[in-house]
Amino acid sequence: MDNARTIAAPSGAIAASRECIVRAVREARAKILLGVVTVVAIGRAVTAPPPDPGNHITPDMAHSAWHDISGRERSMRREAAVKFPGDLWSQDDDMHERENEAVRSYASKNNVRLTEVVRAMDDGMHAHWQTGGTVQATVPPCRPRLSY
Amino acid sequence: MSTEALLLSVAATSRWRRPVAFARSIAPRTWARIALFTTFAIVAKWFWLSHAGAMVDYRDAQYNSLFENAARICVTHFHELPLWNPYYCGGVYALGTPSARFSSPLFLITLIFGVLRASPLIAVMMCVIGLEGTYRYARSHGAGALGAMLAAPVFALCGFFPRSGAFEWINFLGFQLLPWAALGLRRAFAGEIKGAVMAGGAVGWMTCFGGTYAAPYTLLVGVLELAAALVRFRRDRKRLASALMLGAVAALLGVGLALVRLWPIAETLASSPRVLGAIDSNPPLAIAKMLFGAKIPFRGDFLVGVLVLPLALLAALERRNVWILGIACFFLWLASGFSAHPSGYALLRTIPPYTMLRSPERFLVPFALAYAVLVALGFGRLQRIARKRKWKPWVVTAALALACIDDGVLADNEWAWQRGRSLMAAPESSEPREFTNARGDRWLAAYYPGIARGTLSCFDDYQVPQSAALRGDLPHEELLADASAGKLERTSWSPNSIALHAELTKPARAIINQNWHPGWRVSEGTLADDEGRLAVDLPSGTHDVVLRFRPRSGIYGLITSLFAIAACVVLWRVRRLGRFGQLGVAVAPLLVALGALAFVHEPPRPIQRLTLPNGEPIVQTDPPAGAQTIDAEFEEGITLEAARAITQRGSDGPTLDFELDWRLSGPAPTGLGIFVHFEPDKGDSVNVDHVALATVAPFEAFPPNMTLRDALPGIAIESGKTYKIYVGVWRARRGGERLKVVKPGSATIDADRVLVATIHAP
Repeated sequence: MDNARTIAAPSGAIAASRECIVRAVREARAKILLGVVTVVAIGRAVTAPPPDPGNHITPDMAHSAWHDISGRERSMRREAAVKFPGDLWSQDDDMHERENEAVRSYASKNNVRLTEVVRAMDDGMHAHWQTGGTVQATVPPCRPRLSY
Repeated sequence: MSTEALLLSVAATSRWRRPVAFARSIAPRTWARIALFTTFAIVAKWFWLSHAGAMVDYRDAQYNSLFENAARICVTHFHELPLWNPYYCGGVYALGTPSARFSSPLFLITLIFGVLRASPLIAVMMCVIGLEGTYRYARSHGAGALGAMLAAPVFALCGFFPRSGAFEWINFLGFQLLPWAALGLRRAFAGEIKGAVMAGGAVGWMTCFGGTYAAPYTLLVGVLELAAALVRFRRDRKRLASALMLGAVAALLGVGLALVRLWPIAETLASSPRVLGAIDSNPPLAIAKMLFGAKIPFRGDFLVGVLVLPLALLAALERRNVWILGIACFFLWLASGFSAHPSGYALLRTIPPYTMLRSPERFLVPFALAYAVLVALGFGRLQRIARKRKWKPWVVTAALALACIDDGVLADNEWAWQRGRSLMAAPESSEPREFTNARGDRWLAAYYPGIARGTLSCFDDYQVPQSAALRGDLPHEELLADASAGKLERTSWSPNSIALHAELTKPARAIINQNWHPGWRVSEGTLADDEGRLAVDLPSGTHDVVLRFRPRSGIYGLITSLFAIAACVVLWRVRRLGRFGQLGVAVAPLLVALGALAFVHEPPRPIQRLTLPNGEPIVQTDPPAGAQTIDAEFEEGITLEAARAITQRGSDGPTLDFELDWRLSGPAPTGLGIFVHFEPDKGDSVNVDHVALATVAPFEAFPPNMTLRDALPGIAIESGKTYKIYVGVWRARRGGERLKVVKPGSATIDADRVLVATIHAP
């Protein structure tokens, strides 16, 4: 009803159209702001520099990583067995946590790429590279603990 | 009063009112408000955006990133739908993985920007969705625009969200859809069909986004909103009927939209349940600390801010806000877990699917929503009181400032979580090569798909259906069970399809080094389950065999969800349908799923074999020879018949082969567990608690009046120590209390534990 009345009066019509324009400008400003901040966010995410991955691993280093880490598997498994008696999955998982620490430690100590040390461990197992210990190629099925 | 004094007074008044007037002018304008919310969300996530290419150094980040990356690889490299994930556990049903988030619309962001760079962008987007949803939900409760805008961050930036982001629990950001679901239901119960579509859409989205907690919690919010509607319309049958019908429409749409995930997840968890034993308790002080922080700077796992507490209390004292106050109190009660007496959480844990949820403090998320609404209502009440009693304008401005500071505190908490993350180099992709399974390492799981490897070592919250026969050192992933039968080679491979060429001189079994699942189909021969591995039985001759993963629940669940999207569009746009017509449109998509259940055959999952690791049956008529008779009887008709403990000296140290022999007088109740305490003469005691007998199945899976052999071989013990071994039964998945020993038999009893043996480690 209010709108009908303002449109009926000529001066009111001008006021209404002015208000419409002001509203449209305000809305356009808000949309522009929204567009700008969205572009800023996407730009920041796309251009954010990743952490330095390190150098490429050499074939010799790959063998040495495998030899060094797999050589510790037996003692790691024994420690895990004492920590989680009777729970095969937890024992294996604990061993893998220790293995993960060893892999990361090797990568950071030698400033080589973590992905490539991970790959070296798999290559060593598949190609049966020489190892200082015994390695197990299977894992027990995932049976998570009651609480963790 | 002089003219000058009057002018000064007016100027002072307008100065105090200016911020309020400015904020008030923005709040009701949708685009201005969304622009403000987006800016705020970006500022709050700025540190995360600035390290978008880095991997979070946290164990759960590994598998969460892997699930998303596996789906991305499937779409971008192989141009297939992500149905099967071969990169984890030896192959898992991707759609049936409860916490995988790739089936939501936000997967598009992952496809474009990659997994790690997409995460903060998804977080920003979900935050804006949460802010706007909270604003609208608060408005629906009668809050003013300004109060609702100021209170929105109390929910959308509450400590839970930055904490989830810091651990890469991106799927938990689905909770940001909670206000939309609640708002939709309120509107549906008020008679608006668009409300039902909104609620169904929000629930469908959060479920497809891996909303393992968000969706069940939303169900509770929905029940509370329904109760409110029933009370409101108790004297108006017509409106009551309309509310119930639209509630049903919302529920049907939610189920239909989510069916692409609900059905596969239900299948997965039905065959491989999640067994939880945590007895979580959160005393009031711990909850207060999580919500408000203990000291400045305010930090908290579920921080909502203490500065706006007076506003919430102001609203809580108003009679008309009793319902939202009740909702807040209800979720506080649930969040206290087992520490409340009586415990609502304990009761809830007996009802599926809540039996599989833990961490009751997560109920503080719906509490945060109710708190945000109370804050918004409190701000409105303060404005009304100030206007009525003609208080000085600075009172409202001060409240506005306080609310803004609280929002700043929440943003500061976000930054603290983001800065506190330990970051590591992102996984890289190697040159294209053949897929094989590696033994792997779940602590580095995210690094395997990029090098075309699957990791057999894995973790998830449920008992993953995984074969123990899978190997990480095979020269070829496909092999013949009888190598002398001929030749087998892979001709093509993708996650959902494996093509093989076989030349056989006699019938043979081709084994694929991946897990079996009933959703696999084969073009020739017969599909088989070889110790849990995928296999095909082939006749002699030359064969080109193609195995394809086409699970009924995934395919027909997807079709149902697509139809549900169409139903949403119809209901949103077509006005003249009538309530029964609307109900019909909402039901229609589910007919696809029902039809598939009736007419599409899928092989049944094999019945779980109740055998010991050495192949002997767990269920026998008598205890094995050499076991010492005990006959101690517990409550619930459970008897410990006998026990056997044999120590051995191996090359790596002493071990113990331990066995408990149980007998049930009737069907066992659910939720029981066995505790075993190894108490050495020196040093700490060791617990060998377990729920599944011989790590196979819980008590309720076994028949009564038989001996049940709970064998635990190869337990490592420390040389030179003497151990006393105590055994008992407890309600591991309920309140945690021990079952009483009603008859001691021949054993010594100590605090409802049976002393079964004393051993000396050689």
